[in-house]
Amino acid sequence: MSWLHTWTGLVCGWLVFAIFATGTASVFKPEIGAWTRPVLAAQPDPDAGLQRAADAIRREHPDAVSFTVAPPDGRARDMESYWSDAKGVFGQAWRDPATGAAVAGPATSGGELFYRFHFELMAPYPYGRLAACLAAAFFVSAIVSGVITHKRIFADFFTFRPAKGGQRAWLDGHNLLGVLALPFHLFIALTGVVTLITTFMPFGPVGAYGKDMAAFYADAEPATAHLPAATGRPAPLAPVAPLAAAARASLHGDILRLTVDKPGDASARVIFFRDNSGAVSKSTQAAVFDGATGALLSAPPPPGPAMATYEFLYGLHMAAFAGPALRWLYFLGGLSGCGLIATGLVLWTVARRRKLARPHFGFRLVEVLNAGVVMGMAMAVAGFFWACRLLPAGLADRPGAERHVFLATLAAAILYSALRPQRRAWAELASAAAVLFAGAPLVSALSGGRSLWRSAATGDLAMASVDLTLLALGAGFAFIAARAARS
Amino acid sequence: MGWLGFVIAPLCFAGFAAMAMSMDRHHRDAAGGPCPAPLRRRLRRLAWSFLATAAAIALIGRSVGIVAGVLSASMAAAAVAGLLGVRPRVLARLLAIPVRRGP
Repeated sequence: MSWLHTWTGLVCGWLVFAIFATGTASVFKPEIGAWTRPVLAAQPDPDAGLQRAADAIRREHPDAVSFTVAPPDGRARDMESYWSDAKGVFGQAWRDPATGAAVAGPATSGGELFYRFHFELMAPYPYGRLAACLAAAFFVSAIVSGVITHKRIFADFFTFRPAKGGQRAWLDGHNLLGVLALPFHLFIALTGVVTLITTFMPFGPVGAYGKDMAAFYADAEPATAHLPAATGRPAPLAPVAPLAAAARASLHGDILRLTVDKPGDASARVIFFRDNSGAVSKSTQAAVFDGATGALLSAPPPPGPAMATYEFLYGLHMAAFAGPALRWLYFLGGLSGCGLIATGLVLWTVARRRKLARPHFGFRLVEVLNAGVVMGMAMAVAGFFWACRLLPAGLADRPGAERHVFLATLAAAILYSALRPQRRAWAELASAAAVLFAGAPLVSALSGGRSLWRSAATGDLAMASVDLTLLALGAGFAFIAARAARS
Repeated sequence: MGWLGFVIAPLCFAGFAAMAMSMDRHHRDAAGGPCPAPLRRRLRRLAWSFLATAAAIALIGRSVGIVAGVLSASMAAAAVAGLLGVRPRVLARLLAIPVRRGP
């Protein structure tokens, strides 16, 4: 079992670390989105925003046969929107609730970069998603075999002796995080696989539906299935803002997104999906309106037990239900996962270094990747915040350039780690991560983004807390750098 | 029910702090000697009543409360362990346990 733990942990360690680091950042995806688009107001009116976005999409894309808009809420200030035409060509834009048009200012990936990387690893579909699922499966086997290997679970429950130094201290830290945060690590890894289940294990739906996957999706999401065919008779679309208010009353909750099917046709449908605050499960409730008359139609049927299970596990992973306290607990849980993997990777080398007269290539490779990936991911995450503010506004495909900066930072850290003695590499890369994290709020203030003091003065809590979290992470990495330099 | 985390986390912290103080090894670090048997019994009772209260509040919050409870318990236990590793005396002082003159 110890062998299994050692090797599954090593094989998936770097990948799972990268997934955990970006997943932890994604807990605050709407707040990061707000930070990256400082022109947006803090308290947009959601219904007026929906109306403006719907009008703008119909004006800009008169041939759209379906479009979807997510309203702003207490967290998100922008509106994600997408649309498709009769040929199935998709478009996507982030809209400003105040105008309905695409957000002004430099184009940015916003909170999407970390979120997409978390499960797609910037690899082509479906390979990135499959790799993320496999990494999660390896991670589950590593943490379960780790707990079995570590026999003194209750006797060592609170044991942490950093003063002892060396392998003992690393092992204490690793055991502590592994045992205490085990429930979180286990459920986050398993539910993570569930979010991609139709990619990773399509056998159930394929077995039940054969080639007719359209029937599968119709049963899985009844609200958008069985919509009436186009009549060809034009009819103006009813205003969506009053419908949104009616949908809130009918759903007894807030709106996650709005989908309009066949706008401008007599058969148009306006569908509001309920958000899932108050319960873990992603809600399947929807309010469907006749788009021409504005009449509320009968509610779509509730999903079957398999789908209800899926919605619960999906909701548990995405944490959209979480209030402020729980969101921070998810964030800390994510950091504990990063710590668990980083200490495990370090232990692999610490346990072997003494036994080796001359480090062979494999050992050296692990050493280089440990410092390079662990500190490189931290630098890449911090680097995104710099790129978001510093890349020229007129750059073609600016979000793509942000992705390149992210990957280049990671690659540079791995290269640097290969060129330096290990102890120095850890200390120097941690210093670089500290400077990048702590410097990001400063760069933001100096480059015409919003400064921390202005956010504090205007009571913009979300914006200020992103800056403060970046500063705290900077302090954390400075502490790690100081410890690494001393040891 | 998101606010439940604010209540559950401190309760879990108090419960795990009392639990750690009832263990000789940690009691020695924090208070300078082994834990006397009567104090150990009281600490154990205190620990379980704090943790049971936290669990009961978590159950009131149904699915969201249970998730908040599980995460709070993990983070509170980690905070107790971290404090024991760095400033063990603070834990004894928090629980008003008499500290013997250390070696």
